[in-house]
Amino acid sequence: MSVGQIFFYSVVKIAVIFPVLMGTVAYLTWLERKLIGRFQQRIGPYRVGPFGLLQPIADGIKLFMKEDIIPTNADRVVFVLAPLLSMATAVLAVAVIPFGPSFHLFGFDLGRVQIADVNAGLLVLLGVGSLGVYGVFLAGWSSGNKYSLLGALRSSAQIFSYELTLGLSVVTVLMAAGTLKMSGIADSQGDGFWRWWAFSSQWWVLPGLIGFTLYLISAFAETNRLPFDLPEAETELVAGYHLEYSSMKFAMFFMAEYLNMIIVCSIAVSLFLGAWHSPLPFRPFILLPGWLWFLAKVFALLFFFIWIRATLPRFRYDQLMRFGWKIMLPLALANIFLAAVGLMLGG
Amino acid sequence: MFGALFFWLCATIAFFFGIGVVVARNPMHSALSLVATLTATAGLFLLLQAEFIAWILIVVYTGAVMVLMIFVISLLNLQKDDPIDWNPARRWGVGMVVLFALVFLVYLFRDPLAGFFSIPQAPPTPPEWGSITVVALDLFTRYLLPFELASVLLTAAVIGAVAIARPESPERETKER
Amino acid sequence: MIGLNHFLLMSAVLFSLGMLGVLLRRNALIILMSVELMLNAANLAILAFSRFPPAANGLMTAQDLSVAGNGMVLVFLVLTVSAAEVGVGLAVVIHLYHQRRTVNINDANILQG
Repeated sequence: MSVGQIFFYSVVKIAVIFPVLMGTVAYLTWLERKLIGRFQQRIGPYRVGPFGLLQPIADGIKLFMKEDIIPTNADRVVFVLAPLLSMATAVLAVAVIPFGPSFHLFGFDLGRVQIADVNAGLLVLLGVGSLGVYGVFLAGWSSGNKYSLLGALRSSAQIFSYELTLGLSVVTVLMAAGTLKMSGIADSQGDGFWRWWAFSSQWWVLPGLIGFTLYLISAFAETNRLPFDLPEAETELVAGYHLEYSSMKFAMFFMAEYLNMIIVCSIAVSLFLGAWHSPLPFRPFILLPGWLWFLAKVFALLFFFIWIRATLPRFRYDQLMRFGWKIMLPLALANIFLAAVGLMLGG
Repeated sequence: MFGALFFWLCATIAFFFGIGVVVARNPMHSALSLVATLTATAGLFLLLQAEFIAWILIVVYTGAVMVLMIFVISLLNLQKDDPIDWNPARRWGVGMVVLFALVFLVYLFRDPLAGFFSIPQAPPTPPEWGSITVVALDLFTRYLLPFELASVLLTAAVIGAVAIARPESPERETKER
Repeated sequence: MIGLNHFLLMSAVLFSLGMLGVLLRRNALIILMSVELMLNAANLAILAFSRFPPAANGLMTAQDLSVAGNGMVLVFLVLTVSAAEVGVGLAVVIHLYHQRRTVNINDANILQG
């Protein structure tokens, strides 16, 4: 494939995936409000359109129309830059996620349902996640507000504390699959849920399950979701780092948070839950296209995220840090050892 | 052609933000310029087909080291602007640096016809070159001792940093007596 | 066509900028950052020489690979050492700030004269 061909196909894939992604982010907010409403024995939004389906559009218009305020003490350049950084790093991660296997359309080989299949795909995801800290931190620092700064310090400390556990749990899958390429990791799993890395007998199941659990818990902390959402809860520190933001800049932080949620769920699905493979290896399950299974699994994980939000109370900050450093990190290190032993004995 | 375009893009970004690191009055702006320079440098590494190292640069350097630096800058709450200091000693230093740069440029352009503009083709790389396998194979077999020494160094650095940066508390001083 | 000289020139430019930063600024943190810039310029030079080895006329053989991979291992170790150095350097700056309430290196002059 020539450079021009690769470029053209990538542009086409971006043109398809990006609107779907933005639509998913918008309707994830609707889903969250509906589900939390049901968990709390109420209906959730129901006025704007049938079943409240036009609610995200109404929210978008409202945020767009609000007055855009920049505080006097704010560092103007960085203040505007911070939400852009948050959005940019979130969207960048989508480029390497393997949504589906290679497909052919009218006899043309269009490659995989994946925008960029780089050789170091997993490292790209870790790197972009590390860059996400900047959006949060610069937002708090540039607001010129002590509460924002404190909220940003807490939030970014939380993010990079759990980044270590995230990286280590991902390393176990790297060891098992033997490659950093996301498509390679997806290919190393198979149809049938016992062939996914979370449940695989190739390493006697346990390292995969522990790795998956550690990854999920770190994902909650990375995306500032309950039970780890102390840095941005409305009752704590006056809503944290995005306090001084209004209108579209706030909307960007909001979207970036939901986008991060989708991305960590997608990574969990690609690494641990078999990417685009179907859970049972016979008809009619394997007739469905790969990307449909991928989306179904991501949706299941998102449902789990929202379910946890409606159910669990919030961690206090010191409990959160203690949990991350003293419990999760040693467990993740032990899991790597366990995975190595499992792969040697079982594989 | 795309390679050349990408090179000039990354080189320009690295150059201008490198100047930003040196001339920014606010330390936070200097740190952010350094982050941009490091990202551009990672792009240059990608051009040299050192893919693994480029992403490790982003994960370790911009993702951890610079975050630490930005934390310290904001915790020390440095509000005062700090412009460039042009006292005589420093003027000598600047002169030396400029001289060095000029000498290097003269060396590069010493033979205008065959120097800078006729560059041999880059040799084609073997498969897997620049990937994690190549680095890991070397690092864990031939260079195992430096690897282990580097981990000892990191442990020592962690312990040293905690020991140095601990605040002096009155109880600790009376205990030491 | 981008070749070795382009990358070496870029490395020299970044190194000079870092050196200017170390010489001209008084803020200890900015000096640390300029040192990081210099280290990265050195990394760039190492990788450039690794990519364009001396016998650049023919194909790279497997033997060249085992020699050329050294560049990336060296850069990896340099990254590790510079990360450790930044950690300790920042600890020293914090300690200086606790003692003297300033990070201006001109104010750290007790041993002068």
